[in-house]
Amino acid sequence: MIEARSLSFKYPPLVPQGEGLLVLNGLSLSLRAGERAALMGATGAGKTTLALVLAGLVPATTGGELQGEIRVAGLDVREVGAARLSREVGLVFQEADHQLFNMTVEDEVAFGLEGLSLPPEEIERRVDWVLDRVGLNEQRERAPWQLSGGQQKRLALASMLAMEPTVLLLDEPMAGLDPLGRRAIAELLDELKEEHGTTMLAMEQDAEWVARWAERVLVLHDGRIVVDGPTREVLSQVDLLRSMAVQPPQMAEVAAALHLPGHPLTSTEAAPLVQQLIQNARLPIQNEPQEIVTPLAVVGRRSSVVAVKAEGAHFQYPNGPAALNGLSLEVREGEFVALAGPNGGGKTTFAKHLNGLLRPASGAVHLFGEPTTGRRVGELARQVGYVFQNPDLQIFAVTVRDELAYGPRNLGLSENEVEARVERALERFGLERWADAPPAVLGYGLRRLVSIAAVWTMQPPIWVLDEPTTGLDAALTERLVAEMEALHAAGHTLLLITHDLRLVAALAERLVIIAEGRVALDGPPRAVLSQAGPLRPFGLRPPPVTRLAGKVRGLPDDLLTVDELLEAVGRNRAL
Amino acid sequence: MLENRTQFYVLIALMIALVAVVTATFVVPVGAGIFNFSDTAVYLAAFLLGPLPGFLAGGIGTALADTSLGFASFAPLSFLAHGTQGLLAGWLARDGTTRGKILGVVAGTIAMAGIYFLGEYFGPGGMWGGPAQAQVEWPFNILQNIGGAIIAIPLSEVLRRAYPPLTRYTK
Amino acid sequence: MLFDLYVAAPGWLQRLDPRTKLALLVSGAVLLLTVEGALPLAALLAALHLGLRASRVPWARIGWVVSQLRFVLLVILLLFPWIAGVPGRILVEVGPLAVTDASLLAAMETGLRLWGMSLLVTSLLFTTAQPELVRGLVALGLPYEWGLTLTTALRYIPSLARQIEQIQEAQRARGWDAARGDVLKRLSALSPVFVALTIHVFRTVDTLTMAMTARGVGNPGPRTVRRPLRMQTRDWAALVIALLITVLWLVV
Ligand SMILES: Nc1ncnc2c1ncn2[C@@H]1O[C@H](COP(=O)(O)OP(=O)(O)OP(=O)(O)O)[C@@H](O)[C@H]1O
Ligand SMILES: Nc1ncnc2c1ncn2[C@@H]1O[C@H](COP(=O)(O)OP(=O)(O)OP(=O)(O)O)[C@@H](O)[C@H]1O
Ligand SMILES: [Mg+2]
Ligand SMILES: [Mg+2]
Repeated sequence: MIEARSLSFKYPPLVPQGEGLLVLNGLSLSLRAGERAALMGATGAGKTTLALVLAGLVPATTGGELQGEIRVAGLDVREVGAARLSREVGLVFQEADHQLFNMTVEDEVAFGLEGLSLPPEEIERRVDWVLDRVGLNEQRERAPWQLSGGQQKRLALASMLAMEPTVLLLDEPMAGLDPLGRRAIAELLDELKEEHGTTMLAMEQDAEWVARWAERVLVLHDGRIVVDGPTREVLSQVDLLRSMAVQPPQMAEVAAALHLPGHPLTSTEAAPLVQQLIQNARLPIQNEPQEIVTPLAVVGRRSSVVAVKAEGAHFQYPNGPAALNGLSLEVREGEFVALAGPNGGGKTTFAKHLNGLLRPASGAVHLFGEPTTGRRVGELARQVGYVFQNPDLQIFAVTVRDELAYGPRNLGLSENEVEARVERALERFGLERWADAPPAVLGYGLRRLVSIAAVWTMQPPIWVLDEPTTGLDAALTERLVAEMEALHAAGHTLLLITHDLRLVAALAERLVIIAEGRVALDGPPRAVLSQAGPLRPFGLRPPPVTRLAGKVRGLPDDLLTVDELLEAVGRNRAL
Repeated sequence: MLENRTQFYVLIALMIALVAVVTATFVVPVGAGIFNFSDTAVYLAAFLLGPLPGFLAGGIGTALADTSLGFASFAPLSFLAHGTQGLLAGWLARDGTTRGKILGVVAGTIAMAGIYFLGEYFGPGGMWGGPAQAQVEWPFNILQNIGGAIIAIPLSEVLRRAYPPLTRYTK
Repeated sequence: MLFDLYVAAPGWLQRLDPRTKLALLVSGAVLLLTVEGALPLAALLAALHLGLRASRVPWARIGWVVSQLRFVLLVILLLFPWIAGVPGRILVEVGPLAVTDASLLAAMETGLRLWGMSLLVTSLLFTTAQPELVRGLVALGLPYEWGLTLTTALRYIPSLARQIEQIQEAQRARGWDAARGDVLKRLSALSPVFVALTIHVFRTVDTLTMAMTARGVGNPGPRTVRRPLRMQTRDWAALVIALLITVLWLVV
């Protein structure tokens, strides 16, 4: 169904005399009809590029040199062109909001159908059918850009499904979705496969989801498919995946470390094996939950200074829902707090209250004891550094150097000091090579680093990071984690917004769940994450390791990371 | 021009939107008056993309802005004035030199201020305000053009550096 | 919201076919341009107001047009009489300049006409959703590609406006303090906004081109329409009445 032979693709140069980037380099790939495959790879590996090439959109839109043969759904892609191909091939883009260009939800779905010259009754029927399926019936008349991130993803999918493609390409369908949204989309894809036998290829970073969904996994590295095989086999090769910056599923890591047989990928599969291991080896079973030292030796350093204090903050967007509903929260100086919760829960809205981009309609927000009311954003920026959810919304300068200098200059620092800070930041974030490059043309991972470095040069005492790791591969995520740990160790107060509970478990001192504009749960990650019950109403589940621990008799229920689990099992070779 | 037809239409659409948004939302109060940036946006579109996009984006963009601001009756006049402004500026600056851009601005300013003046002065039944409006407005129009050009000329250079792929749209 | 003036209510104008409304617009414009005298024009304007109100457009919306035009109208009322030079009874005299009662009436006539024309066009937008208006234009012969271009422009205007807000938020979040600067400083802060906005636009051009192509734009062959426009009896009735009034007025 998808057949690519020795594909090579080079983007046009980004600077006038420069060299274009060779993204695909002799790539071959073959997918049978009805297969359900996942393509993984590092940030910038070329996953999106490959999807666009398969759909015939690159190089037609971007320019560049393409070599090799591609046949998709029996058509020669390079010959027929993307418009004709769109009758057979559906592509759901990485960023859903880029894909939605109509004024209402129903027009969005109808658009492609009109292009297929279907009769009006048939268009109407399919619009009804697909909107019902993705649960957007209530939103039919709304504008796509007013939907939440998760709803936009569903709409992008719906507008493709309605065209009933024989091949569906999905570019990071799970990124930025909360666990509930993930489940809904996964179910929809299952139905689709059952009813139409659609061939599906998903480019995806989230290994836990890939483990449950895909039949086959391919890994893109250095412009080629270097690993290709059944999901279980591929995802179990933990070291190989790591070496290509692909995060393996947690259970695969556990299985590899404990030499479990049968390549388990989920906690349900792994639980009996671990149970058996414990019993066979007659390992000493620790019945008492053991106090385990967190990787950060900072516990107990709780300061008495309150850095952030929100008291019954209420906020409502004009013609929108109440986004904050009496949110109260107190964060001590030097604390590392993670904020999680469902899409649309109010996390970003709360973050914007900290530096005054938004003001509470009632209630108050205090920074170091002083209320934010009456103080301007530019002034509050001295105390609060905000890393935006979308780096593209944060970057505006002409060169990376200017971008990093913008903040400290506004602080009124001397030119010498500004320069010194910029140099240090360039070095620290490995951006020296790009110092004079325009940030807008850098790849996503680099843009993310620039957006963080630009706050770093301001050295604010309080940091707010809004989903900084979304869309990053394992290597870049580790780099950010190291950076956050360093900031924490240096005494900064950190608020990290994230959907990645694995990250929370490994990093944060405190986890706050925000839902419906309020603090729903608040406590040490160990306490909050080890109880599946209280998390469920917010569509959240503990990380796989914690779920595994809960299923194995004799293990403490509140294990949070793979290392802790291994230690508890008593087989951690590092010890 | 772009080979990809769809891309061409999308480019025009977004430049129209850009001009309209800048005209309607970028207003800086200067003293007692208001400085708007429509001319900056029109010149920018013309310098970066050439005469045809300059004409369409300048003309339709400002006409839409007028309409949305309640000045709907001025829309046809704005279409002509700013369209011609963008057309001339884009054509004279097609070699990409600063000299060409300055020439473009001079011609664009004369065309824009002139068309507004003539239209308002002689417009049927005074539907565009008649002689009074015409005489009050022309000095402001010239000032706005000069201000707009002072920003647009260096900006078009900065943009070429900040986003090199831009050249793809120009040729 | 900015640029979207449509009042979604089941009014009589909202229910008409967009092509009918375009015809009404033309005949309205003919009337406004040919009727002379302040009083008849005021009567036309009043009729327009009532028609809009009957179509469930709130007074506040209707009044918004004149409030937007207030400076232009003020200029016309205050300055026009001095230079109009229509002979008549002199009301005020300053040196060689004089205001006559006829000049004042002429100024009022000009102001009313300008107001009327603006309100007329705006009333089309009050009572027609943007996509429908474009569909009407396409049905009248505008090539589909240009219709799509127009729709896309309209669709992206609010999105770019949001983008500007977000860029300015980003600047402030990194210590930019607008309140402290003078005019020049404030102008210089706009330059990065322009740069970021323009780059955003060009990136959007690429992604949007791909998104549209992926849904079949550029595929030769006929397109169908989910809800084809159909002229109803009420459309024909409105057309006949408008035509009658206009022709009668022009002939008599
Ligand atoms: N239009 C373009 N012109 C030039 N280079 C580009 C263009 N689009 C992407 N690139 C570069 O090509 C490389 C591959 O990008 P691509 O988006 O395909 O990677 P990806 O694997 O999808 O990454 P991610 O995980 O971030 O989505 C990146 O280095 C990127 O910067
Ligand atoms: N600009 C806006 N205009 C209107 N409503 C908005 C706007 N931004 C957010 N909302 C709404 O406010 C609520 C809270 O949104 P917020 O962005 O704070 O959620 P979030 O917790 O950050 O979600 P996510 O995990 O998806 O980033 C949502 O219902 C959202 O639809
Ligand atoms: Mg990608
Ligand atoms: Mg958010």
